[in-house]
Amino acid sequence: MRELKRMKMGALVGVTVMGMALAGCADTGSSNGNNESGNNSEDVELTMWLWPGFGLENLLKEYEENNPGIKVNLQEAEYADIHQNLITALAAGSGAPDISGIDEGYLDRFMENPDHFHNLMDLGGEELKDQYLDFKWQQGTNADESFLIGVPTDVGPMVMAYRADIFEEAGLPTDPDEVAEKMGTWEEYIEAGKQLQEETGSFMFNNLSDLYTAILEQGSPQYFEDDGTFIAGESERNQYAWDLATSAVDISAGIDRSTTEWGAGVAAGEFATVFLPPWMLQNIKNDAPDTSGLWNITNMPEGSGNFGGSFLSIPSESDHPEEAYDLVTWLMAPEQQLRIFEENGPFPSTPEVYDDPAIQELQDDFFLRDDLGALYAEAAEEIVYGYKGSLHEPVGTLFRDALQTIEDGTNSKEEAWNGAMEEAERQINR
Amino acid sequence: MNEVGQNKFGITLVYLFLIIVTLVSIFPFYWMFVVGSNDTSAINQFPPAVIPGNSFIENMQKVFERIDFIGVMMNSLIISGSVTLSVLFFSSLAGYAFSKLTFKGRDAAFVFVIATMMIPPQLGLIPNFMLISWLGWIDSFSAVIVPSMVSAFGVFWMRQYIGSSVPYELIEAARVDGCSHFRIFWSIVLPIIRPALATLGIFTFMMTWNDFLWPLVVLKDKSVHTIQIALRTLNDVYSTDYSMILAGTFMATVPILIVFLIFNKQFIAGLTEGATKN
Amino acid sequence: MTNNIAVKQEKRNKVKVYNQKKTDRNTGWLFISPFFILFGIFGVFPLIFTAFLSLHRWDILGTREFIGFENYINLFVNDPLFWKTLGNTISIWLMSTIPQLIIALMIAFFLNQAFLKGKTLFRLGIFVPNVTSVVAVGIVFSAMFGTQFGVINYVINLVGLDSINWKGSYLGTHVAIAAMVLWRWVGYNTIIYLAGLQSISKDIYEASTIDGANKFQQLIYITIPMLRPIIIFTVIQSTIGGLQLFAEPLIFGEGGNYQGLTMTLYLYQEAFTRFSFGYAAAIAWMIFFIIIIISLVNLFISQRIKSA
Repeated sequence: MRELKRMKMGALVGVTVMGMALAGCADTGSSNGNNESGNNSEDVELTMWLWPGFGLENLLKEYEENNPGIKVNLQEAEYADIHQNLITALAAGSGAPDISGIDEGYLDRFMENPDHFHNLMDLGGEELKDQYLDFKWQQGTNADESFLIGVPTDVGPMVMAYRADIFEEAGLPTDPDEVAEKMGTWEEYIEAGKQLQEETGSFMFNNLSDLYTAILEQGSPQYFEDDGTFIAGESERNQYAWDLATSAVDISAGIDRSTTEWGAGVAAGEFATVFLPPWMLQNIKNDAPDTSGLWNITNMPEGSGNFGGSFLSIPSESDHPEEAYDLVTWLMAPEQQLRIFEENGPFPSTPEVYDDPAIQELQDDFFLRDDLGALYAEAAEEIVYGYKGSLHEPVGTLFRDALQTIEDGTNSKEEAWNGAMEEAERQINR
Repeated sequence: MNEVGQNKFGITLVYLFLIIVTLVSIFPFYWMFVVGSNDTSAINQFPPAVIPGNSFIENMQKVFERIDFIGVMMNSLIISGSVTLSVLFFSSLAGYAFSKLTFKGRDAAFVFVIATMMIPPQLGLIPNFMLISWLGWIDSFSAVIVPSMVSAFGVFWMRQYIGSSVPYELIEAARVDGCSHFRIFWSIVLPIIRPALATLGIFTFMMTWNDFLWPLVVLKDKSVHTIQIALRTLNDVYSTDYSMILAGTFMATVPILIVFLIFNKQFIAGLTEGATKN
Repeated sequence: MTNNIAVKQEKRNKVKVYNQKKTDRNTGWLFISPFFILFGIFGVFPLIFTAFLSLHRWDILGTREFIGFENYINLFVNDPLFWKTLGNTISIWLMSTIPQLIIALMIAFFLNQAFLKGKTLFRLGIFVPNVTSVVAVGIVFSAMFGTQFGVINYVINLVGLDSINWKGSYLGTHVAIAAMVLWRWVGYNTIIYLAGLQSISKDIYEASTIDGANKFQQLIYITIPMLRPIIIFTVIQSTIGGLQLFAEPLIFGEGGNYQGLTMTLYLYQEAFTRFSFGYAAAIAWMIFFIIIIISLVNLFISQRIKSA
């Protein structure tokens, strides 16, 4: 018995010691990853940080084959982790990759500190301008277009998915064009929602925050002027979105999109419409496979909006900006973006491919209409640029949380608005 | 007669209590397997799904396609194993000194050790990254192993345990026989405190195994990822395949349970054997 | 006979006392040095760096601006949210820690009984919550505490009571988060107590049984007093852990009124979502001081109980 115990402990120690030896091997194997590649041979190794879902694996392989001497070391981590790691590395002054993805939500934070990145304008970025959607180009450049932080990747044009069966039960139109016409404005949408709630008992949408965000994203300025002045209190766009959202408490299901309740709500038909970009379609399919054939898709009231999309940037620590620039411009050129999309990737930001059959004829048996891609392309071209500012997200969170308290019944509209404004002022002036 | 009846009733109650506690404890773990063996919509069902499906293998295959599962498990094993052995050794050594040796500045030093536990861990992220990057340890296991080779938690625990379980007379007697402190520690103290070592061992192993906050800052290359970092990369922004993630997570937890069972026998050893030797 | 030996030993000790003190001192510092060396490298530098940062305004990527104690002043006079997080943290900590330690002690006491069968199974079972992935725990708990599709509200409705808005009310959120903490950490403390119980000799229990003590009396008069060092350990540890509570509120969500926002979560958001690193550093030092103060109060109270 005691012998057995000893053997077990011995085995454990053995494994660990062996492990430590192995660890040594792994070290030497990987240490030529960053920035050291220049001095040993002609091979250039480009380290690239992305979160999963870009769908670049095949293209990278192809690029390596066609460009001998270039090796790409793709390092993936989770979405938030990539940004946190990039910030940490830039702040510490070492450890940043040659290429890093940056989501639009983090973009302005990095834009304010251009020293940390190679200016793609210096590498020939001007030539890219006509390839990409205007709003995307404006997002990636500074006010006088002398600085380009990264090459645009995908976009997330917003459309409205609705449950045709519930609409029918409520006596609302079910044909996409008729729905779009009937709900051309947000007021008409809310009106229809009240009818739907009375007739069927279902709610119109999941929660106030999502309705508010959808409306807010359709115009600008939102919380900040281009010069950084905080105007959330006076901003017409913000007040418009707030007033509409707070007038729709009765037709909101009060379910947060990030919870499993949302999935349960979709499956149970708790709410009849969802605002979503293309990449979120999959969520409905995964969460509620039984609702196949009940959904249809049309334009949102009062135009589109954007949700998601990123840029590929080149941190200034990189010793190979030219090689990195060549790679990212090739990856995000129209033809390649189309190929990414065809392989189930995100939606292209290059309008010249929107007429391609692969996009025009995109369909999905889950949804009733068979020209999804055409709708997305249309929505994508409607997106307007609005300056956001590096504190946009935190301020937006305050307003969304305030709407949550109205929904919970813990705050009145005035209390909620004032609370959000006070806290926003505090955070901005810190 | 009466007493026996009472006892039986009491024993039944104790069993009942323990069974309920155990069931409540394992439910989320079991449920992880339920979702991991179904498709993702199982997570949203109401009332919740409670019966395992038959897609576990399929979900695991998806995990294997996306990450080098065996490789990252080995990495985690190496890191957690090294940290555990090192923490066990250094913490019990320090715990022994704090509880059984008298030296100047001892109590102040001990208070200092406890105070270090109160520092919020999120605080060290950026300065430590600078340090590790200056040492050239990015993407090497040293970056994760070395900073956690001895823990305040371990020292505190060992000091409390050794203080209450190792009699002074035993140490005095050994000193009289001319044993060095290290010798006493190694051949007298360690065998007595086996339950404490087992406890600290399993906790250290588990904490290291599950940690991702620090590893993901310093381990970026796929070849050095730990299982927790690799599992995080399964998390798409576009849509989350919970079944795949939970299937992978379930498999990643199994090694900890095995380590628990290895240490388990030690929990109850200790004093009885120490006493017989004595 | 034992007496005799003890007396002899004491005499010898007195002779050797000078030498021994000296070797004790050297070995003592030698034995504890690994901790201090590592802490000196990976603990002191961040501490000083953070103190330095807390006197600056720094958004991490841009330039640092020295602003003296402005961050601390702001924290005291112009940040009601921080003080709210302090209240939340203490409330959740008390709600979770007290039942947690009592239940853990009970389970450990039962698991240590000789008559019990299937010990390994029970021990493994109660340890499982601590290793269950945080992702899975988050999903299960938010599904259970869902306001509309939650199992708990479902049961509450069955009994004929009104649904509780777990995510939208103070009490609801605190109870839900505390339940999660309780669930995750009871097993951990049980294992610690169980290890502590191994150092109590079986003879003492046997003797007390012969004297007619029942199990409950044994728990109060033998187990708890002899376990005091271990209990102090768990109290201090769960105080520190509770005041640094982070994962559970992050998973559950902080709620519209920030009723679930804890100090450490606030610190994290300040640093990594609002990028006010200087301010976050000041918060970090505040949390550090608050934990020290509460631990001292805690220690003072336990000392009182000890002497009573």
